[in-house]
Amino acid sequence: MWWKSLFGIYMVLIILGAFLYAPVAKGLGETTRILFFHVPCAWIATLAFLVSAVYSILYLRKQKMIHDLKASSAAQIGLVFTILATITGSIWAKQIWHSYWNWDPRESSIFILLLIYAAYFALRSAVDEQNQKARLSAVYSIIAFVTVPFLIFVVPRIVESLHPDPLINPRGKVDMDSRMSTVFFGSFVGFTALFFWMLYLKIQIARLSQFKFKPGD
Amino acid sequence: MKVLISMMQTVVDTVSNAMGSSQLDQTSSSDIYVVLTITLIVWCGLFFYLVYLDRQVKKVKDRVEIKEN
Repeated sequence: MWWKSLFGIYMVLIILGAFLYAPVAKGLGETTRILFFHVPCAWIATLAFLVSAVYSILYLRKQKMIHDLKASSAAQIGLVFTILATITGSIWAKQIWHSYWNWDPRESSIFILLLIYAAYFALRSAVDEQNQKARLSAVYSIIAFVTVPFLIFVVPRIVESLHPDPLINPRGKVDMDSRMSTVFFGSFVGFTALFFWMLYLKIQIARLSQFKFKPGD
Repeated sequence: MKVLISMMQTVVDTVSNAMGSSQLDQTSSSDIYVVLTITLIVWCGLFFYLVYLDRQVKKVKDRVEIKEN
Protein backbone atom coordinates (compact mmCIF):
# COMPACT_ATOMS: atom_id res chain seq x y z
CA MET A 1 0.00 0.00 0.00
CA TRP A 2 2.88 2.39 0.83
CA TRP A 3 3.96 2.63 -2.82
CA LYS A 4 0.42 3.63 -3.86
CA SER A 5 0.43 6.50 -1.34
CA LEU A 6 3.92 7.48 -2.51
CA PHE A 7 2.73 7.39 -6.11
CA GLY A 8 -0.28 9.58 -5.22
CA ILE A 9 2.04 12.15 -3.62
CA TYR A 10 4.36 11.98 -6.67
CA MET A 11 1.47 12.72 -9.07
CA VAL A 12 0.30 15.62 -6.88
CA LEU A 13 3.87 17.01 -7.05
CA ILE A 14 3.86 16.66 -10.86
CA ILE A 15 0.57 18.58 -11.13
CA LEU A 16 1.86 21.27 -8.75
CA GLY A 17 5.12 21.39 -10.73
CA ALA A 18 3.22 21.80 -13.98
CA PHE A 19 1.30 24.78 -12.60
CA LEU A 20 3.79 26.40 -10.23
CA TYR A 21 7.37 25.30 -11.04
CA ALA A 22 7.65 25.01 -14.83
CA PRO A 23 8.04 28.25 -16.80
CA VAL A 24 5.88 29.02 -19.83
CA ALA A 25 7.22 28.87 -23.41
CA LYS A 26 7.38 31.90 -25.69
CA GLY A 27 4.27 32.27 -27.84
CA LEU A 28 2.33 29.60 -25.98
CA GLY A 29 1.78 31.45 -22.71
CA GLU A 30 -0.03 29.57 -19.95
CA THR A 31 -1.15 26.89 -22.44
CA THR A 32 2.44 25.53 -22.30
CA ARG A 33 1.32 23.67 -19.18
CA ILE A 34 -0.99 21.50 -21.28
CA LEU A 35 2.20 19.86 -22.58
CA PHE A 36 2.70 18.05 -19.25
CA PHE A 37 -0.62 16.20 -19.61
CA HIS A 38 -1.29 15.99 -23.36
CA VAL A 39 2.06 14.54 -24.53
CA PRO A 40 2.25 11.83 -21.80
CA CYS A 41 -1.28 10.73 -22.83
CA ALA A 42 -0.07 10.29 -26.43
CA TRP A 43 3.05 8.48 -25.15
CA ILE A 44 1.00 6.06 -23.02
CA ALA A 45 -1.25 5.34 -26.03
CA THR A 46 1.84 4.37 -28.08
CA LEU A 47 3.29 2.32 -25.20
CA ALA A 48 -0.02 0.53 -24.62
CA PHE A 49 -0.34 -0.42 -28.29
CA LEU A 50 3.27 -1.68 -28.21
CA VAL A 51 2.50 -3.82 -25.14
CA SER A 52 -0.64 -5.09 -26.89
CA ALA A 53 1.40 -6.07 -29.98
CA VAL A 54 4.06 -7.82 -27.85
CA TYR A 55 1.43 -9.91 -26.01
CA SER A 56 -0.26 -10.65 -29.35
CA ILE A 57 3.03 -12.07 -30.67
CA LEU A 58 3.39 -14.08 -27.45
CA TYR A 59 -0.15 -15.41 -27.89
CA LEU A 60 0.55 -16.56 -31.44
CA ARG A 61 3.76 -18.27 -30.30
CA LYS A 62 2.49 -19.92 -27.09
CA GLN A 63 -1.31 -20.05 -27.64
CA LYS A 64 -1.98 -19.12 -24.00
CA MET A 65 -5.22 -17.21 -23.37
CA ILE A 66 -3.56 -15.09 -20.69
CA HIS A 67 -1.50 -13.37 -23.42
CA ASP A 68 -4.69 -12.55 -25.34
CA LEU A 69 -6.17 -11.12 -22.13
CA LYS A 70 -3.09 -8.97 -21.58
CA ALA A 71 -3.06 -7.81 -25.23
CA SER A 72 -6.72 -6.73 -25.19
CA SER A 73 -6.35 -5.09 -21.77
CA ALA A 74 -3.38 -3.02 -22.97
CA ALA A 75 -5.23 -2.05 -26.19
CA GLN A 76 -8.24 -0.94 -24.14
CA ILE A 77 -6.12 1.33 -21.94
CA GLY A 78 -4.33 2.56 -25.10
CA LEU A 79 -7.66 3.53 -26.61
CA VAL A 80 -8.64 5.46 -23.45
CA PHE A 81 -5.37 7.43 -23.59
CA THR A 82 -5.72 8.02 -27.36
CA ILE A 83 -9.17 9.54 -26.76
CA LEU A 84 -7.76 11.70 -23.94
CA ALA A 85 -4.83 12.85 -26.14
CA THR A 86 -7.26 13.70 -28.97
CA ILE A 87 -9.66 15.70 -26.77
CA THR A 88 -6.91 17.58 -24.91
CA GLY A 89 -5.04 18.27 -28.17
CA SER A 90 -8.20 19.55 -29.80
CA ILE A 91 -8.88 22.03 -26.98
CA TRP A 92 -5.24 23.18 -27.09
CA ALA A 93 -5.56 23.62 -30.89
CA LYS A 94 -8.63 25.82 -30.40
CA GLN A 95 -6.65 28.07 -28.07
CA ILE A 96 -3.48 28.27 -30.21
CA TRP A 97 -4.65 27.74 -33.80
CA HIS A 98 -8.26 28.98 -33.32
CA SER A 99 -9.88 25.79 -34.51
CA TYR A 100 -10.66 22.53 -32.74
CA TRP A 101 -9.58 20.46 -35.74
CA ASN A 102 -7.11 21.43 -38.50
CA TRP A 103 -6.30 18.07 -40.14
CA ASP A 104 -2.69 18.62 -39.11
CA PRO A 105 -0.57 15.46 -39.79
CA ARG A 106 -0.51 14.58 -36.08
CA GLU A 107 -4.25 15.18 -35.73
CA SER A 108 -4.96 13.06 -38.81
CA SER A 109 -2.60 10.34 -37.54
CA ILE A 110 -4.27 10.09 -34.14
CA PHE A 111 -7.69 10.03 -35.79
CA ILE A 112 -6.64 7.09 -38.01
CA LEU A 113 -5.16 5.37 -34.95
CA LEU A 114 -8.45 5.79 -33.10
CA LEU A 115 -10.33 4.18 -35.99
CA ILE A 116 -7.81 1.31 -36.26
CA TYR A 117 -8.05 0.41 -32.56
CA ALA A 118 -11.83 0.96 -32.41
CA ALA A 119 -12.01 -1.63 -35.22
CA TYR A 120 -9.89 -3.97 -33.04
CA PHE A 121 -12.64 -4.01 -30.40
CA ALA A 122 -15.36 -4.28 -33.07
CA LEU A 123 -13.52 -7.37 -34.34
CA ARG A 124 -13.27 -8.86 -30.85
CA SER A 125 -16.96 -8.35 -30.15
CA ALA A 126 -17.92 -9.85 -33.55
CA VAL A 127 -16.31 -13.26 -32.89
CA ASP A 128 -17.80 -15.55 -30.23
CA GLU A 129 -15.43 -18.50 -30.23
CA GLN A 130 -12.62 -17.71 -27.74
CA ASN A 131 -9.65 -19.20 -29.61
CA GLN A 132 -10.68 -17.76 -32.96
CA LYS A 133 -11.28 -14.36 -31.33
CA ALA A 134 -7.84 -14.46 -29.71
CA ARG A 135 -6.06 -15.56 -32.90
CA LEU A 136 -7.77 -13.03 -35.18
CA SER A 137 -7.33 -10.13 -32.78
CA ALA A 138 -3.65 -11.04 -32.18
CA VAL A 139 -2.95 -10.90 -35.91
CA TYR A 140 -4.95 -7.66 -36.21
CA SER A 141 -3.13 -6.09 -33.24
CA ILE A 142 0.30 -6.86 -34.77
CA ILE A 143 -0.72 -5.44 -38.16
CA ALA A 144 -2.30 -2.42 -36.42
CA PHE A 145 0.90 -1.74 -34.48
CA VAL A 146 2.95 -1.71 -37.70
CA THR A 147 1.08 1.51 -38.59
CA VAL A 148 1.86 3.17 -35.22
CA PRO A 149 5.53 4.15 -35.87
CA PHE A 150 4.53 5.54 -39.28
CA LEU A 151 1.57 7.49 -37.96
CA ILE A 152 3.22 8.76 -34.77
CA PHE A 153 6.87 9.23 -35.77
CA VAL A 154 7.26 9.23 -39.58
CA VAL A 155 4.26 11.10 -41.03
CA PRO A 156 4.56 14.18 -38.78
CA ARG A 157 8.27 14.45 -39.70
CA ILE A 158 7.87 14.28 -43.49
CA VAL A 159 4.73 16.41 -43.86
CA GLU A 160 4.67 20.07 -42.82
CA SER A 161 2.91 20.38 -39.47
CA LEU A 162 1.44 23.06 -37.23
CA HIS A 163 2.88 21.12 -34.29
CA PRO A 164 6.28 22.25 -33.00
CA ASP A 165 9.43 20.21 -33.78
CA PRO A 166 9.47 16.76 -32.24
CA LEU A 167 10.91 16.73 -28.73
CA ILE A 168 13.99 14.82 -29.85
CA ASN A 169 14.87 16.80 -32.95
CA PRO A 170 17.13 15.83 -35.88
CA ARG A 171 20.15 17.16 -33.92
CA GLY A 172 19.38 14.56 -31.23
CA LYS A 173 18.96 17.24 -28.54
CA VAL A 174 16.07 18.10 -26.25
CA ASP A 175 15.50 21.85 -26.65
CA MET A 176 13.69 22.57 -23.42
CA ASP A 177 14.16 24.67 -20.32
CA SER A 178 15.64 22.53 -17.53
CA ARG A 179 12.76 23.17 -15.11
CA MET A 180 10.27 22.42 -17.86
CA SER A 181 12.03 19.18 -18.83
CA THR A 182 12.13 18.08 -15.15
CA VAL A 183 8.34 18.32 -14.89
CA PHE A 184 7.87 16.96 -18.42
CA PHE A 185 9.94 13.79 -17.94
CA GLY A 186 8.62 13.46 -14.38
CA SER A 187 5.13 13.44 -15.86
CA PHE A 188 6.21 10.77 -18.39
CA VAL A 189 7.46 8.56 -15.54
CA GLY A 190 4.27 9.14 -13.51
CA PHE A 191 1.93 8.38 -16.41
CA THR A 192 3.97 5.27 -17.32
CA ALA A 193 3.67 3.97 -13.74
CA LEU A 194 -0.05 4.78 -13.81
CA PHE A 195 -0.42 2.81 -17.06
CA PHE A 196 1.25 -0.31 -15.64
CA TRP A 197 -0.87 -0.09 -12.49
CA MET A 198 -4.08 0.22 -14.55
CA LEU A 199 -2.92 -2.64 -16.79
CA TYR A 200 -2.25 -4.84 -13.74
CA LEU A 201 -5.76 -4.12 -12.38
CA LYS A 202 -7.43 -4.71 -15.75
CA ILE A 203 -5.61 -8.04 -16.26
CA GLN A 204 -6.49 -9.23 -12.74
CA ILE A 205 -10.16 -8.36 -13.28
CA ALA A 206 -10.22 -10.00 -16.73
CA ARG A 207 -8.62 -13.16 -15.30
CA LEU A 208 -11.10 -13.36 -12.41
CA SER A 209 -14.06 -12.73 -14.75
CA GLN A 210 -13.02 -15.70 -16.88
CA PHE A 211 -12.48 -17.99 -13.90
CA LYS A 212 -14.69 -21.07 -14.18
CA PHE A 213 -15.96 -22.56 -10.92
CA LYS A 214 -15.55 -26.31 -10.74
CA PRO A 215 -18.46 -28.40 -9.37
CA GLY A 216 -18.09 -28.56 -5.60
CA ASP A 217 -16.17 -25.25 -5.32
CA MET B 1 -25.17 15.47 -5.16
CA LYS B 2 -26.72 18.91 -5.70
CA VAL B 3 -23.54 20.54 -4.40
CA LEU B 4 -21.47 18.45 -6.84
CA ILE B 5 -23.69 19.41 -9.80
CA SER B 6 -23.57 23.11 -8.88
CA MET B 7 -19.75 22.89 -8.53
CA MET B 8 -19.50 21.29 -11.98
CA GLN B 9 -21.85 23.95 -13.41
CA THR B 10 -19.63 26.70 -11.97
CA VAL B 11 -16.50 25.11 -13.46
CA VAL B 12 -18.14 24.71 -16.91
CA ASP B 13 -19.40 28.34 -16.82
CA THR B 14 -15.99 29.69 -15.79
CA VAL B 15 -14.17 27.70 -18.47
CA SER B 16 -16.59 28.62 -21.25
CA ASN B 17 -16.37 32.31 -20.24
CA ALA B 18 -12.58 32.03 -20.20
CA MET B 19 -12.45 30.42 -23.63
CA GLY B 20 -14.84 33.05 -25.03
CA SER B 21 -12.83 35.94 -23.67
CA SER B 22 -9.51 34.50 -24.83
CA GLN B 23 -10.78 34.59 -28.41
CA LEU B 24 -11.06 38.37 -28.01
CA ASP B 25 -7.80 38.83 -26.17
CA GLN B 26 -5.09 36.32 -26.97
CA THR B 27 -2.76 37.58 -24.26
CA SER B 28 -5.42 37.03 -21.65
CA SER B 29 -4.35 35.18 -18.52
CA SER B 30 -7.61 33.22 -18.78
CA ASP B 31 -5.57 30.63 -20.72
CA ILE B 32 -4.89 29.09 -17.34
CA TYR B 33 -8.55 27.97 -17.24
CA VAL B 34 -8.00 26.08 -20.51
CA VAL B 35 -5.04 24.33 -18.86
CA LEU B 36 -7.30 23.57 -15.90
CA THR B 37 -9.92 22.09 -18.29
CA ILE B 38 -7.30 19.85 -19.91
CA THR B 39 -6.07 18.65 -16.53
CA LEU B 40 -9.64 17.93 -15.42
CA ILE B 41 -10.43 16.06 -18.65
CA VAL B 42 -7.37 13.83 -18.23
CA TRP B 43 -8.16 13.04 -14.59
CA CYS B 44 -11.91 12.65 -15.28
CA GLY B 45 -11.08 10.23 -18.13
CA LEU B 46 -8.89 8.18 -15.82
CA PHE B 47 -11.50 8.39 -13.06
CA PHE B 48 -14.28 7.06 -15.30
CA TYR B 49 -12.01 4.24 -16.49
CA LEU B 50 -11.34 3.34 -12.85
CA VAL B 51 -15.11 3.44 -12.15
CA TYR B 52 -15.53 1.01 -15.07
CA LEU B 53 -12.87 -1.29 -13.55
CA ASP B 54 -14.57 -0.98 -10.17
CA ARG B 55 -17.89 -2.13 -11.69
CA GLN B 56 -16.11 -5.13 -13.19
CA VAL B 57 -14.65 -5.99 -9.77
CA LYS B 58 -18.17 -5.77 -8.27
CA LYS B 59 -19.49 -8.19 -10.94
CA VAL B 60 -16.74 -10.70 -10.11
CA LYS B 61 -17.42 -10.29 -6.37
CA ASP B 62 -21.14 -10.90 -6.91
CA ARG B 63 -20.34 -14.07 -8.88
CA VAL B 64 -18.07 -15.33 -6.10
CA GLU B 65 -20.69 -14.57 -3.42
CA ILE B 66 -23.44 -16.37 -5.39
CA LYS B 67 -21.21 -19.45 -5.69
CA GLU B 68 -20.37 -19.34 -1.97
CA ASN B 69 -24.07 -19.22 -0.90
